[in-house]
Amino acid sequence: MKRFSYADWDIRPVINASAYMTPIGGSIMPPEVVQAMADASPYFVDMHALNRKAGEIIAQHTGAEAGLVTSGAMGGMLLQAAACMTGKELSKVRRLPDTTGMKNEILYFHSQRVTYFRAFQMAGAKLVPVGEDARGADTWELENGINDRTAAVAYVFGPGIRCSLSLAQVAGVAHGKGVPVIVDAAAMVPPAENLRKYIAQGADMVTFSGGKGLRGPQSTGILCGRKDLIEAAALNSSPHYRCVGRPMKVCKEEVVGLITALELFVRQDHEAVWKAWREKARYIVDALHGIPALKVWLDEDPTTREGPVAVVNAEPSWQGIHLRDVPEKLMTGDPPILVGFHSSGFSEHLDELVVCTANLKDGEEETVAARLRKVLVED
Amino acid sequence: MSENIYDRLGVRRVINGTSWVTVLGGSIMPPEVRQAMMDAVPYYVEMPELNRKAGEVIARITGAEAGMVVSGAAAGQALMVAACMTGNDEAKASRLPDATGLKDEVIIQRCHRNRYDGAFVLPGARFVEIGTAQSTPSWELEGAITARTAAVAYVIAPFFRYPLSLSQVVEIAHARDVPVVVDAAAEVPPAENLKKFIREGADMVTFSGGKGIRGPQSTGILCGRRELIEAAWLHSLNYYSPHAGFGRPMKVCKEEVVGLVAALELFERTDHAAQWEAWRKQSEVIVRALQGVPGLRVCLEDGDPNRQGPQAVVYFEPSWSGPSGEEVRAALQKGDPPIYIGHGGYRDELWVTPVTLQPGEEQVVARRLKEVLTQG
Repeated sequence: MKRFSYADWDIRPVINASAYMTPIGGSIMPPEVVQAMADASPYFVDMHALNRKAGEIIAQHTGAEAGLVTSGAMGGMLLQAAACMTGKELSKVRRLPDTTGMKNEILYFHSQRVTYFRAFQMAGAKLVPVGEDARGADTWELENGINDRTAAVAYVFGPGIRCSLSLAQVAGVAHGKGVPVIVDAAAMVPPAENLRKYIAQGADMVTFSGGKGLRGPQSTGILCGRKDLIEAAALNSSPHYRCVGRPMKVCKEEVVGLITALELFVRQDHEAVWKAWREKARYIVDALHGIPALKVWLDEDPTTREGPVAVVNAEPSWQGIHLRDVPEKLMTGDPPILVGFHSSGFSEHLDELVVCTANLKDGEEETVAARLRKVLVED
Repeated sequence: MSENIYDRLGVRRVINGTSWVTVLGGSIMPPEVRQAMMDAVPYYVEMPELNRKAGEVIARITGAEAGMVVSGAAAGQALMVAACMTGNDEAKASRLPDATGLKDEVIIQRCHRNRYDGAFVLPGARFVEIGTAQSTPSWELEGAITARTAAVAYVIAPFFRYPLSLSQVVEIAHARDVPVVVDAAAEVPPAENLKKFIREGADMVTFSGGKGIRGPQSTGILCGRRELIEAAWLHSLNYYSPHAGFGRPMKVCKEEVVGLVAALELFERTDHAAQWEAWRKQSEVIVRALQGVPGLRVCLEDGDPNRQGPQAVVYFEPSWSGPSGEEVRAALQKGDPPIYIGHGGYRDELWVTPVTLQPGEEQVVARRLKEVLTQG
C-alpha cells in the first residue's frame, strides 16, 4: 500500500514551540484517537444517531444538559447565534441568514470584540456593542442594552481578553430578562476544569475548540449547553439541509475522534502532564542561561500561559538580534521551529519571546534550545 | 480492539443502498486513503502550504488553473460566491457577510433551486431568480445581468433540467464579464466530469469529496481560475491575518487535505469500467432475486445519468397489492442490520444503488427486500 509522507509534497514538518496554532495544524492527535477514527471509518451509520450519542458524552463531561460536535469553535459560534435566533422552529431555521421576524441582535462587550464574531453575522445576527470602554462595561449598560430584539449576550474567554463584568454577573442580568448567554472559550482547555466552569457559572451555551488542548481532530469543536438550545443548534447544522450550518460539515470519523479525545483528556493525569511540560521549559531556560543582557525565565501562570513556558526578555543593555526577528530565523531554519513573540507595543524591553512546551515531542526541547541559543548568540 | 467503536457507543451500523448520502456518512474511504490520513497525523505543518500543494494536484486532475480543499461542496458554494464578490481585496473580504458596496447578486435559474443552495448566498449575497421551474429563455439571463451581479450559479444534479446548457450560460455571462460558478456536488463519477465543467468554461466548480471520490466526508474540491481561487483562499486560509475569514468556520484539518488528495489520486488510477461491471453484478443479484413477484416490475437501469451507478429498480404496477414503498423502506430500516434503500426519482419506485454496498451486502439486501415485499 502506498504510504504518505510530507516529504513527497516537499513540505517540511514544523517543530511547534508555540501554542495550539491553527496555521500549523492545531494539535497532534494521540494514537488512541487516531485508532478510534480508523475503527469508525469502514461503516455507514445514521449521523443523527451518532451525533445524539456524542452529545450525551459531551454533556456528561461538561456538566451541560446537552452537547454537539461542530466543525470548530467558530462553527460552534455560528450555531450558537443561529440557535438563539430560531429556537426549534423549522420555518425560522429555513430562513436564516434572513432574520425577518426574529430576535436578531447579539450584545457583546466592546472590550471583548474578537474577529470570530463574524460567525454570528454569518448566521444573520446583528452585533450590538455594550459600552465603549476597552476595559469593560457597567451593569446598567448591559441592562439598557437588552431589548426585545436581543437574541443573546456573548461573552468571550481568551488570552488578553477582559471584561469588568464576570460571566456570572452577566448571566444574572441576562437571565433576569430572559436572554441566553453564549460563551466562546475556544482555547481555554486545558485546564480541564474549564470544561465545566462556564456552564456552572450560568452560560447557556459554550463552545470549545476540539483541535487545541483537547487534541481531537483540528476541524472539530464542542458545543454544549441547554438542551433546547443544543437541539436548535443541531437543526441548524449538517446533516440537515437548508440551514446555515450545512457548509460546516463534520464527518463520522471526526465525531468519534473528538469524543475519544475528550474521554482521554478527562481521564488524563493533568498534573503529570504539566510536570513534563515544566521540565522541558526548565531545560530550555537552563540551556539559555548566562547570555549577558538577556533575561530568561520560566512562567507557568495558567491564566496567561498555555502551559509552562520559557520566556526571553532583552534588557536595556542587550546589543544582539531584535527579539522580534528571532521567530523568522527559526521558521526558515531546518527544521522550521515556531515560537511565540509578544510585542508590548510599548518598549522593546517588555517584548517577549515565548517558548511553549505543550506541543513539543520528547527530545524536541533540546533542538529548540540549541537553535535558539545559536540564533541569540551568533546573530 | 475487540468490540467495534459503534457497538461501544450504541450506534447501529447500517447497510447503505441509497448512494453517497450525507446522513449515513457519505462514503467509506478506501484503506489507502485512511492510511494516508494516519501517516499525516503526527506532524505540524504549515496548513496554507499544505493546501497549496493539494491545490496543484487538484488543478492537474481537473484541468483548472488552481484548486483547494474545502470542507464540503456547500462550503465550496459559499466560497465561490464570496470570491466573486470580493476578488483578491482583503479589505472587502474582511467585511463579509456585510456586502455593502459589493456586487451581491447571484443569478440562478428557478429550475436549479434546491435544498442545498442557501450556501450560495451565505456570504451576504442574494438570489436573482430567472426562468420557470421548467425553462429559462436566454434573453432572461442576458437581461438579469447588471452591475451588481457577482456571479451566475449553475447547478448540476440528478433529475435536474438544463434548459440552458452550461456552455450557453458561460457564453452569455462571459460576454458581460460575469463569472459562472458550478455546484456539481454529486456528479463524480463519471470521472470525466472532473474536467468537463471547467472545459465548458466554468470559472469555478465545486465537487463533494466524500461521495464518489471517496475522500473524507467533510471535504470538497474547489477548482477554477487562479485569481478566484486566490480570493477563496483569502476567505479561508488567511491564517496569519488578524481577521478570521468568512470561511474560517468551514475548517479543514491536515488529515482531510491529505486524505482527499489520496482519494483523488486513487480515483484517477481506478479502472472505472471494471468498477462499473462489479456494481452491475451486485445489482443483478438483487434484480434476479425479485423476478417473478406479481405486481412488480424489477429491472436493472444502467447508464441513466440520473442514477448513480447501475441500479436495481422496483416499479409498482397498478395490480400491486402488497406493502407500499414507504412501508417497505420502514421495515428494512427497522431490521437488523438496518438497510436503507432509495425511492422516487421518476415515480414512486424503489431502488438500490450498489455504489455504497459493501461486497456481499447485495445478498442481504436481496433477501430482506424479497421477504418484506412478499410477506405483506
